[in-house]
Amino acid sequence: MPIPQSTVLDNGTVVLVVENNAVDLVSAKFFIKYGTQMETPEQAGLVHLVSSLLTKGTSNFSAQEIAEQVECMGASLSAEANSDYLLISLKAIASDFPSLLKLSAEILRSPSFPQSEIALERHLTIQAIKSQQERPFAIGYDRLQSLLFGQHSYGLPILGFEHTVAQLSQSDLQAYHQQYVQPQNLVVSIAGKISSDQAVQLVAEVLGDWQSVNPSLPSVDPPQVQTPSAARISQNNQQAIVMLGYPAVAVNSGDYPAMKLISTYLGSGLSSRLFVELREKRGLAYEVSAFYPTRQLASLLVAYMGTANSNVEIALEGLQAECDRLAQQPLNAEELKLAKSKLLGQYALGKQTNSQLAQAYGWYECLGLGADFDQEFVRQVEVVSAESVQAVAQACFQQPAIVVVG
Amino acid sequence: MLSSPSVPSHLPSVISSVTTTPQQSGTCLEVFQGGLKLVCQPMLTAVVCVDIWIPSGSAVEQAGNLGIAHLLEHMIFRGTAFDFLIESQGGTSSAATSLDYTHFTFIVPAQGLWTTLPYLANMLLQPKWTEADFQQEKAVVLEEIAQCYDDPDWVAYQLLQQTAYGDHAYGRSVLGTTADVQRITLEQLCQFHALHYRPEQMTIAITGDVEIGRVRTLVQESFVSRTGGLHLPQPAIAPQSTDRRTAHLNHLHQSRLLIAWLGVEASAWQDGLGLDLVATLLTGGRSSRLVRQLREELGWVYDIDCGFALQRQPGLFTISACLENAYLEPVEHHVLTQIEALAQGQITELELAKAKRSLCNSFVFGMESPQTLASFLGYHTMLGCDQLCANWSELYCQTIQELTISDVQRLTAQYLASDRSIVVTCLPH
Repeated sequence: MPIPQSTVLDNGTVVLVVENNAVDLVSAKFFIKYGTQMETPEQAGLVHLVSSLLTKGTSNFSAQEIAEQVECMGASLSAEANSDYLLISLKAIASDFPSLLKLSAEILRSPSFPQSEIALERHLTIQAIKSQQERPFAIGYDRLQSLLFGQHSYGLPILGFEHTVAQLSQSDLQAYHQQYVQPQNLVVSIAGKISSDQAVQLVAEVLGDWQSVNPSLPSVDPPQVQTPSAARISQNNQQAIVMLGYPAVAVNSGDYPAMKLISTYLGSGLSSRLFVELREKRGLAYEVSAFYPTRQLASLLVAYMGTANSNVEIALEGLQAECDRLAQQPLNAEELKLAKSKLLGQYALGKQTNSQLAQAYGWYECLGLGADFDQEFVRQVEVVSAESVQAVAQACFQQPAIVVVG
Repeated sequence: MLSSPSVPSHLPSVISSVTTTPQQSGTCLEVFQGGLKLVCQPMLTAVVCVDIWIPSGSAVEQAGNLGIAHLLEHMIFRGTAFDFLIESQGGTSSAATSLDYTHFTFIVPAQGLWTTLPYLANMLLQPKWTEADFQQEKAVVLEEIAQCYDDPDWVAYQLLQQTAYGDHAYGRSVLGTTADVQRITLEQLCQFHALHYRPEQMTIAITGDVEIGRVRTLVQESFVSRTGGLHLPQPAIAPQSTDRRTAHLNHLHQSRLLIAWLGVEASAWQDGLGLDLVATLLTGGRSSRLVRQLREELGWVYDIDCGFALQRQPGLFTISACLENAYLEPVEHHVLTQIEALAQGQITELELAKAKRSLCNSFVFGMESPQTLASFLGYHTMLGCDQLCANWSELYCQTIQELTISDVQRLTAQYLASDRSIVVTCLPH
């Protein structure tokens, strides 16, 4: 496996580089720590709106000029908000990369947040919030997180609410930028046809003279997990989406590898336990799965399926019984081996392209684990025992929050 | 059924996603006696991806059997240990059915090819099913159909296909009807299988860490060709005149506008790439015409996208927008005006060059992944675009680079005439 070269610039920015000459392109990711973590319910949607505005004007260029520059190179440049980081992604043919990097640095350092663009993006975000309501899965998942994490940012939708987005102003965006978009809060992760020395030099040229104006960054508390409760959202649908959510550990926990194995065993792929038991043997669902997002402060394990409205109770019982089973009895040797092969194999398959490599290393660095966690994670998964899987399952599978959309 | 091959015991952490010595040998495209096609591209990676394409999608179904092609795709996995075989190696697999095809794809560490491909060949050519398996899988497929009806974009697209193709097979849902799926018998499924799942019909694409000579032998041994070629006549598509439909959909929060035209068939893939270029001019990025004008300057659409689907018979060139009711008419008018402008040649050289570069680069970016490349090569080889596939790494971009303003003018005038547009609008209840 490639190992990224890590360099820390004098201003605190971490630069990770993986040289990969297989294809003539370079991909880079700028991670700005915290993401939506610092949002309050009153400002829900702030970081998403910042991400929409970053590419829409700088002190030197208008939104259209930025788009023209990127598209004339046939490159891509985009920004998005996540629960633990704000991300700028760029990709270009290798010879265009220096120009694209320079433009991206300008976007990062001196966005102008023009009023007309704020009005447009606010309006379009509200449309996006409305169209989220067209997807039963999205409705259910949002509600599940709200049931578990309450008013903490992890319980809020990334896009925000219509009424909070409508009130976000230019000064809110500027205040966020001033406090969080700072060199010591930044990880730049690069993969592709470029040497480490060359990449570090290019980054230093465009970001090296950037100094923090606000060196103190806040600490964000993990959410207080709420007493699990249930919600039913009635729609006139063909199918009901049935979801269970259990509070689960953050990525920095020693139990994280075992939780990833539990989620893999239950929900990953066509040989997974939920798929075989509830779809293949009982024909209850087309879509049935489980997942466990990697998060910095706290997470949740979600088990869900789409099923006929008349099967909702059976589906809930089936999902819960499979989770409980993991707490009651250990996995046998074959099951554990299969779960490890799947988890590690798909983990490796998820790092095929340059963008995927830049994402993986930059994310771990941004979460405070370091890019080395990529290999450390593999080692930790390999040594997880059936007993520790069961112990972690017992801690996790207590009482779930339940959401039914149908 | 072949007895389950023993599962390799290595840990998949041996999969390395990157190697650093650039070298790439050419593409191999070979037609075996009987008609089986193999397209193979060695790549710098430690994995191998296989994608098998069978040209019997929903378009070959008969009335009363609608949904049988998709049901068969599901049944192929029944009673097998394929998922376990793939996933225990750390690989993944999937399958899909559309109008013109069903395809089966998997990705595994390179050495896994030698057990996995013969196993899949046997599943495809000699399945063994029980009635109980069949009934259980039907229940799964019926849930899948129900789930699709809760997706307004899926429903809107079905309506567009019906409107554009009328009684032709392309006008029907790939998933068939609930009534037909309930009615299909295991015997009918076996007959459909015997008719269509024949090596001489198949196209196999293999990309990744492979050596062409050994792959050729493996394919030959695994897919022993049966005799006789099968020619499947398909009815011609009646040219449509302009038509429009409006539907009110449950739990829609934003309106949808879809404007479509019949484009070219796969044998004219050069014009297909030309239509891809027209699509890029219209919605390829924030500085493209329709995105810039309708999203960025006017704020009339929340999202607008455009694409051409190359199929065996003429596929659709579709512009789709997500917007508020009040803007339906002005947006439609604006789109048609811009297309008329392209037909008049109102394009700058700069605009054309930018669209060409975007299109070529996104092709290059996409082909970084063995799965995307296998899918591209398998699909286009199945459709008979052999020339494109044999020299894909040069010909795709070369074809696009050679297009001129007058080509854009010709393609727009020829295929995107406003008196042949199909318009579907979906409104919230």
